[in-house]
Amino acid sequence: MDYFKSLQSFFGTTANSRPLEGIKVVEFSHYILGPNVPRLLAQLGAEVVKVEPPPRGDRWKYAPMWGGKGFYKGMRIDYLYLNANKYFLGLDFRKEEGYRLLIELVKKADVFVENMEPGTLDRYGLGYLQLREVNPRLIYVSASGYGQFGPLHRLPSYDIIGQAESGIMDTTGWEEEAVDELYRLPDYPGDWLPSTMAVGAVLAALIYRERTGRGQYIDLSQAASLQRFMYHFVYMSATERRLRRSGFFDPFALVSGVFKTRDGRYVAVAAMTEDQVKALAGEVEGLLEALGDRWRVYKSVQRWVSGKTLEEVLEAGRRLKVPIQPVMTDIDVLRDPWRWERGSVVKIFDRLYGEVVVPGPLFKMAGGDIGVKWVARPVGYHNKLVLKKWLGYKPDEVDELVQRGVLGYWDGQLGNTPPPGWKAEEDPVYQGERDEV
Amino acid sequence: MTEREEVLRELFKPEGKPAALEGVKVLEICGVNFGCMIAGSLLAELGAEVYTVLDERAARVTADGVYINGVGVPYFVEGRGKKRVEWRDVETFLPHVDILLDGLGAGRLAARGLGYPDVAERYPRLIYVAVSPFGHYPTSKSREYAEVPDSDLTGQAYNGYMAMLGNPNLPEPYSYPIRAGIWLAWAFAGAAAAMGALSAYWQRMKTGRGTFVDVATNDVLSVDHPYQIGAAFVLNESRRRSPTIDANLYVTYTTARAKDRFVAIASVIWPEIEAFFEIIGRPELAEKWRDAMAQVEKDPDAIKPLEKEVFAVVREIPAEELIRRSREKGKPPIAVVKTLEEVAAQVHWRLRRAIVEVSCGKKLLSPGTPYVMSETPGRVNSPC
Repeated sequence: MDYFKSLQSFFGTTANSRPLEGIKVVEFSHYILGPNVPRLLAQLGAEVVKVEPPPRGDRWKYAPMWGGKGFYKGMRIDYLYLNANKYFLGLDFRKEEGYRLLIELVKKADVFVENMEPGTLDRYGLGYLQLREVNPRLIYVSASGYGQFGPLHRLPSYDIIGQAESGIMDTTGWEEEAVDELYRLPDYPGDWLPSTMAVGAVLAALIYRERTGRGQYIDLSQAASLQRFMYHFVYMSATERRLRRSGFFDPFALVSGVFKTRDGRYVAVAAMTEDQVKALAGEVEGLLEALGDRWRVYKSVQRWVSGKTLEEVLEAGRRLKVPIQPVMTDIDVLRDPWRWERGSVVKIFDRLYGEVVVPGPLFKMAGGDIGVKWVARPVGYHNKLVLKKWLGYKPDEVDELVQRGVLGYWDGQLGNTPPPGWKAEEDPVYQGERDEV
Repeated sequence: MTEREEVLRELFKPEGKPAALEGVKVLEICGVNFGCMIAGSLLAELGAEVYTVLDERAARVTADGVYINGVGVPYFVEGRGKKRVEWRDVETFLPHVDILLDGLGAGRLAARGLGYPDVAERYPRLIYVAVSPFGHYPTSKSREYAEVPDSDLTGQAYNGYMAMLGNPNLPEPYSYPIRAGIWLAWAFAGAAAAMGALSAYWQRMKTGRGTFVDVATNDVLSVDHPYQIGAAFVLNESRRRSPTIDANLYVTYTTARAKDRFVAIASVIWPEIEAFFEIIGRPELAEKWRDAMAQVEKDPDAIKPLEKEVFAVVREIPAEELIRRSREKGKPPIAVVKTLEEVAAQVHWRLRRAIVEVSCGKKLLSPGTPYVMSETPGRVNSPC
């Protein structure tokens, strides 16, 4: 039987199972690095409560992306994605009563995630050393630029600082006679990659806890996570030379680069092995003779590519079994039929924000129902639902906490508001009467 | 050292502690797919026992012909602590495996009778994790590209990442899109595959059943990062590549050439942007910048003259002076862009085992592990 057909049956039977169902997470984080850890856990079915001091909470929601055009029905689109599948609790932990409430939530939690500057939460009685006393099974993640200890640990960080300190920027750009420039890696991979790796550590800690009953502290450093992939240190110490910034060349490929096709499209070519080079050499004149000199190699491939359209180059890649792919733009990515077919781009119907196009999950899992169920909500939107589900509070008890300033809601500013036309009295989830899905 | 730091240093000491995944057996058959191998390595760092069917071509991948103990630089790192298994032993080994990592391409293991449909029946507890360019999940492209190997460069390209990287104002071909200086697409694929494997393992602890996890190198980066899809969705167009101002926030969140070397400036929110203009001695530019940002919608080049002016000012100030001023003011964070040599020499990363010294005939530096965990510290397996 055809391999793909036989696989289809495994993906076709959705058991609606989500691997982390039953796992409870308290998120106390902002911007990207911290919130992406619970985002990915929530994709897998964990119940995540994002705790924010009302009314503003996580300030990342207000950043005016793309000249102010990044908002979708009042909320920023990437914030809607980053905080999908979460429950929003607007709680002032600096008030005694708010602190006590948060501790009650922590007692019920399996995982706690924070990314304040190291030591900040200790000052509020919410550091690992304090919370392990109330919940020894807790898995506590602190995410920061440099980690929680070591000579640099107190310095503030963002993705770009993590990039600068890790050395990764010194690998990215050009280091040629003609051009000597380096660049930050765009779109904040110093946040996204470390936080993705942290999820692996959380899962491993859950597995360990299942066997031993012991929680633990995970100390995530942005820069150290990036350094994990910098083979440059090995090269440098083995040769006593630096591996130059690579431009568009993969320094570990035999033939590589970005080229322009006859129809003006950019295309990436990377032959990693000798058999791939041989296959390419059957079509690219002078390739074998040029090997070892990357610019000579580049010129010979460019001559070949420039005589073909993108489609012709891609067809050659498939025929020769050599990795060749177009340099996709944002629009190419969004409109790519393969992504829609695979579910890497999905249109969901969100109860509040209506039709929203969202990224799919990081992987597909046979029989699993993972991915985005609902997008972010403004501060405090789930106050009633969370306190009912986790601690058994009644709606009027929640209202009293609001009156005392322990709990609160959004400020209604752009980036922190329900969509236009939303009515509190007509929303059973906001009222705590039913769940999101 | 503060008391807190002292306590934490003690808490995170790795000596004599178990690993989280002790007893978990992983078999990787990755071919020349380093995204797959990275997944195996991350699981090994978390304590799994990882076995590998080595493809000699993977061990030959290297830069400038540099080999250490017979293997290329990437395999020197990603082969750490893995035990070799021969093809002929795979069938007998498989019943003892918890997680099978397949990086060969869709259908290749199936051709040997080891595809998921075959092994799922025989070993229902097995977790099968595939890493390939377009995934195994049946689609037009997973079929069309089933026999085309994976590569990081094409992964970065297809994820829409390279389109945002580089300086379009340079002469050709330097103006073309460039790559992130590490195997970023493979790093994401490996991290996603490790995450998929462990979530499936967790599920198996509850249900007793394994499953199939499918990672596509060509989409993983662009579903983790929300910008390629999000920007195109709300803007209905692609963003513009910019080597200086941030292509999302239009602010000075960037690298810049200071008087003596490159610095990284992290102004994200408005108080940081204002502080940045103050520390470069041009507070009046803040309002002008705000006005320019408001015009970008109508005129995408509105910010350019101002950008030029700002970076000309930065170029006159020594890097350390910029940092001193930012620390004095409390914002925005500014750091010197460290060279590889400087990073390698820093005590901080050695202390945290992020960069380690290994003895393999000669003393070499190598990435260590990012997994700093109090009960089950990440393992730095020996490459030799």
